[in-house]
Amino acid sequence: MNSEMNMKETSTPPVIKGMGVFILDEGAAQAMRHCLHELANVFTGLMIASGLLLQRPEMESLQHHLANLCEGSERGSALVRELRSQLLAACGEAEAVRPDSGLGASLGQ
Amino acid sequence: MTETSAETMRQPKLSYSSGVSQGTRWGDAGTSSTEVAFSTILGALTMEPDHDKAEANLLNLLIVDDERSIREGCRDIAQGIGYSTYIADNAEHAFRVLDTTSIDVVLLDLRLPGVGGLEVLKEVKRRRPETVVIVMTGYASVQSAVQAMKQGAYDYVTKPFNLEELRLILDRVLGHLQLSSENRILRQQVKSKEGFGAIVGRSPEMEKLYRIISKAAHSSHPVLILGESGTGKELVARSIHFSGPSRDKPFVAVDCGSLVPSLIESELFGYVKGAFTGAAKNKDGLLQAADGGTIFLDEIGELPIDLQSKLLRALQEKEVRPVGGTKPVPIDIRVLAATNRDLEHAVAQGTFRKDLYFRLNVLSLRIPSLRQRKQDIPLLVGHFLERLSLSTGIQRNISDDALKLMLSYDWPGNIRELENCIERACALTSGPTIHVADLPTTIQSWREQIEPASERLLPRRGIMPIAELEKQAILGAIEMLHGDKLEAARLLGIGKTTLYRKLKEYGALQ
Repeated sequence: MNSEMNMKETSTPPVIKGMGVFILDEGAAQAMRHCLHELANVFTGLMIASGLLLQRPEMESLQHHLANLCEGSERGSALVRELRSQLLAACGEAEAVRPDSGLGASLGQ
Repeated sequence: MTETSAETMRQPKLSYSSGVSQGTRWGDAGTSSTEVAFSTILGALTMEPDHDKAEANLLNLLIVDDERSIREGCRDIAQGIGYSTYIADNAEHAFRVLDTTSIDVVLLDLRLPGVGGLEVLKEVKRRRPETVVIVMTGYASVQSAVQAMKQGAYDYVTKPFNLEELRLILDRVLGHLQLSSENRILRQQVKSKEGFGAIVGRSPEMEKLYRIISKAAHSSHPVLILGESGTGKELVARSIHFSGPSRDKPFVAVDCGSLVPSLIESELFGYVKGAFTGAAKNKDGLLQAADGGTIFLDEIGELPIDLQSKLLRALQEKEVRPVGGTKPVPIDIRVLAATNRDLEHAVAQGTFRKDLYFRLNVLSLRIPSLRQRKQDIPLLVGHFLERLSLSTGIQRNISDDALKLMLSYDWPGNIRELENCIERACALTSGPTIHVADLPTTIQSWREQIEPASERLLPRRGIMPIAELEKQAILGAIEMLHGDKLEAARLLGIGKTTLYRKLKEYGALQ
């Protein structure tokens, strides 16, 4: 059983507002969580790899492509966060945000 | 996206000379060539040839994530910081690594195929509670964060995260673990005779001091030790000397404040036969006596100004010229100096040489006063009581009220005053427990300043032995009546013989 997929059972269908109104049943909400999780994985991998490559002097000639890749993955990540935030809000769940850093998404001791 | 290779891999300390990782043991069957190529290239591109850093830190980090690109990206970042890395794509692999390796840090995805991340977290903590676990998740609910933290996660990071975010977290963990380890070593040193010897204290101020001592011990620079009178400047100097590489060489302590002014020069620099009346033969000075080791110049601020220049010359030229002598004698000494005076002020006033001040003040450390580390008082009291019990054979303890009063007192004389207070109380007390009445009057009168007599004379909570109540009533009455025992006996309603007998029992009869 996955540790985090079924953490909260929702009794009313979640509603995502912003770019219009989406009403999701529980199954659709779960599916969306799953998609967002996968997207988060993809973008994390992209951001780390492009960030690492961008720091290498050997990659100088490809800098602008790498910079585009970095920027694109950062923008994609921001969209994932935004969608997740809306989904959490629609499901009535609070979002974990660490106030003491600019990371915006981790809690530390 | 699940990786097909079943093998958990440890990255060896790589050789980076060719730009390609050497000797990397990759996964067995199932690892695709594309994966190897990607990882190898990325690994080679991201790791600096920084063996020293890797060897120095050498913390074992296990990355558990079913996403290959995240495993590999995290691994490369962690290796760049100096971690030794292991990776696993599911819980079973992670358990296999945990079975065989002492893992310090786990970077753990909460959502894993099969056994979930929270179960892995539980298992990691069960096996090795001190392991630092950073939980990664793609689902940023407070509920999942709280659950992870409740189960002992050190930190919680939400995907998607970038390189800098991860680096920041891993750096912080590294700092956290290094500090914990340093503190552990320091605590062990505190307990051992070879380490910080007789210095007692576990307050944050003292932990900080131990770290500075530890660093100073392994340097050869002069150290200026600052601190109020009675804080233990000589103990710190001894700790610096005996914790360092010259611990087998001499340690010579000189109290510049207590030397007779006319003798300071010959004491410090020595003299030759016939240098003055009574100089029947050559005599080495204290600086020579410390050759190869350390000289500790206590109360350096008291050194006369003419000798300050001679000392400066000796330190700069690494040689001394004995009184009456013409030939310089080479010396190799480390100088530790201490003062409770404001040397900067003395320099400004012209009573202390600026150049000598700069020569001595290469490293400086300030010992906290006792009132700045009151949480160490119970530890210190215990230490002094234990030491006294060794010499007297009598085990003593201290009452809660007495300790409470000692905790509230400001201790202007610092540790020395506390030590004297305990010695005196042990000498005066008639039983195995030191009570408020056994403490010096300075401390008892401190109590009057912080609480009214009406409250003092009544037991506030708990049960107090009648004998103790009687003792407090008698001693309190005498104190209030400024030593008038006859009046005290009259007001207490007891005979003067009884009063004197009681005082004799309490050891308070002067």
